[in-house]
Amino acid sequence: MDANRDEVLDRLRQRLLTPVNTAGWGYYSGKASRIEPTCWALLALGSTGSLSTTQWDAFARPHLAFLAGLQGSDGLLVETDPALANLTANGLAAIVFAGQRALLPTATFARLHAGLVNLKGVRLEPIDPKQDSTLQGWPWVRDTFSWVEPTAWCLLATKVSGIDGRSHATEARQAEAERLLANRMCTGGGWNYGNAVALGQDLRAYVPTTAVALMSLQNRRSDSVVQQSLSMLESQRLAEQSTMTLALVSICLRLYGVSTDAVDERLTGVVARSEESGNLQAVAMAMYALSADRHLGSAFRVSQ
Amino acid sequence: MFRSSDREGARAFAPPSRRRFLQALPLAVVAAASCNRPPYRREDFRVAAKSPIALLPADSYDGDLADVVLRGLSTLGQDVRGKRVFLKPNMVEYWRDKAVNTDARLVAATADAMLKAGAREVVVGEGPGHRRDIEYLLEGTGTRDVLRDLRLRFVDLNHDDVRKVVLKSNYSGMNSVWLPVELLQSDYVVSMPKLKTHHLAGMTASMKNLFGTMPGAVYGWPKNPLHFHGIEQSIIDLTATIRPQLAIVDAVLAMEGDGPIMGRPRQVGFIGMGTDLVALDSICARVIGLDPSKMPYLSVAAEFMGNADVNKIEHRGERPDRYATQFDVIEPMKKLRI
Repeated sequence: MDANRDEVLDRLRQRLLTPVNTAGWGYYSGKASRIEPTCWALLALGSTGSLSTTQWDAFARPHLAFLAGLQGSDGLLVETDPALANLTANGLAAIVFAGQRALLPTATFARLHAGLVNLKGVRLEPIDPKQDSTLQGWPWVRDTFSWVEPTAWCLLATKVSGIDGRSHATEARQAEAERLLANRMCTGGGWNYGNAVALGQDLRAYVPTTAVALMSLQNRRSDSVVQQSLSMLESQRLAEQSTMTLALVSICLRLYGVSTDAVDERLTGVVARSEESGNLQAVAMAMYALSADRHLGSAFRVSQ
Repeated sequence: MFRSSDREGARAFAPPSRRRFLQALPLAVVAAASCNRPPYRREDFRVAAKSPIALLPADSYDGDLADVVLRGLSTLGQDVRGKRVFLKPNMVEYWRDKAVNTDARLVAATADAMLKAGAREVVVGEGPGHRRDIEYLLEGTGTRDVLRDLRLRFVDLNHDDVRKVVLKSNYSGMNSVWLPVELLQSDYVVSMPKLKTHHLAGMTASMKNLFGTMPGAVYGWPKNPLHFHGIEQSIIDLTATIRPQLAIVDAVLAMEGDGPIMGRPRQVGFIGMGTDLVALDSICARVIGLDPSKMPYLSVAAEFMGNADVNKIEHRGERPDRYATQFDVIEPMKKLRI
């Protein structure tokens, strides 16, 4: 790791450690604590190895308690109304919880996992011959359609958590989610928010959603869907130069064993924009991506 | 695009119609309507006898647009002195060389004009409906540069703190929505859309632009609950609830065809301003060859929160005839033509 990156990482760490909220982090400085930025901050700060186990436990416990305190009766973490539990945030939280089980109240993680497995996107009659809307992955919120980002995060969560071994229910959800992602892949590879076609016209893929979807399919790398999309991501890895996107690309490519040098170099350069705007989630994502030499992306790694 | 997620499934390809709008109303709304009780409190809405609007010539984005906006504010009698002004442009996606977004130069010019007119503060904010990566959009659209030049603050509405707000009309049946605190704390909200055709609603202008106030971190990308509760119903409810004080429509370069993303740029050459969003959007529809009475969100909104009747709209700028044209629209939307 070069000196410049170390310097950037130190800066990002200080940014996240500057106390703002009693527990948890907001999407932006000065904002209320939310699930996603808190998860990313915990991943980032927990990945550096600078704290002993005891120190980490003491540091992380209030933040994890904040997350656990959001858990509703169905197991999902809720920021607003129970009907609006954000499944992308919950998928990410399940990944964080999987690595911090000892610090959580008993059954918190198991209930969250069950909540994820039990919730599906709605099934609709097919409209476009290219898009199978009967497939059910995960929606952003209950009683709506399945989209790429929540499906990918929840699919990944069920794969990395390993809480219920290989239960039939979980395997069935994983298989259908993988079929859905394959069906929603854009022509030429990659994904956007979730529609590959509109009125018969192909829509283009986005880089960040492609990275997230590929992370969730990392144990299917021989599939043509994955190969096409990985190829697309490699060729487009610097096409969308923002902190969040470059961080996700870096995390994803590392999981696939692809060099991230160029991406990380660019990320090191652009992260100042997120620091300037106070975007704590992006800062945490960048820190996690740039410190990957230390943690190897283990939080998101699926056993092959 | 939202078709496959529309709660009406296969019928989603059909153009909007009042009959379809009424069929899609929640049962509670229908029940209330059958008792002659509309899904809003009449005392919450007062429609002016005449709604002034101003279509102001602007051939390109390179002229003195701040002066154009200042003239519009003056023409419409708007006083923003001491107010915290919130500008809400449309930045749903970024495609180079496509007229998807409200042009950053118009956003900058409007901010400049508001400050010159005495606004205490100007904040720009948007919650894009497709793209989550706001940094990418700000860079791509050039908005970041203009904000920096003017030292303006940008608020990512998708990730702001939120507060639950009871809807002022409830055609969607949502009863309440979570809205960004920064928006709610503003004294003077300006909806700043790009004038575009829309493959589901017919047209997107100052009312539809308010979808971008819904926080993605609550409702997702796209903001799918709005589609399940009815796009047109949601447009009405959001407009009735947020009640922007002003709309400034970017029709310098608009979009025709398969909008709001996949269409083609179309030069029109004006900036539309008005305090009555129903009136301004109705005139915009007519300018591009669409009949507002065939667009339920406009015709229903005209029953209680604005004027769509041309006889109740006062033109304080150019006459709409100067810009009247016929936009190319996708086949199902041809039924909306005048």
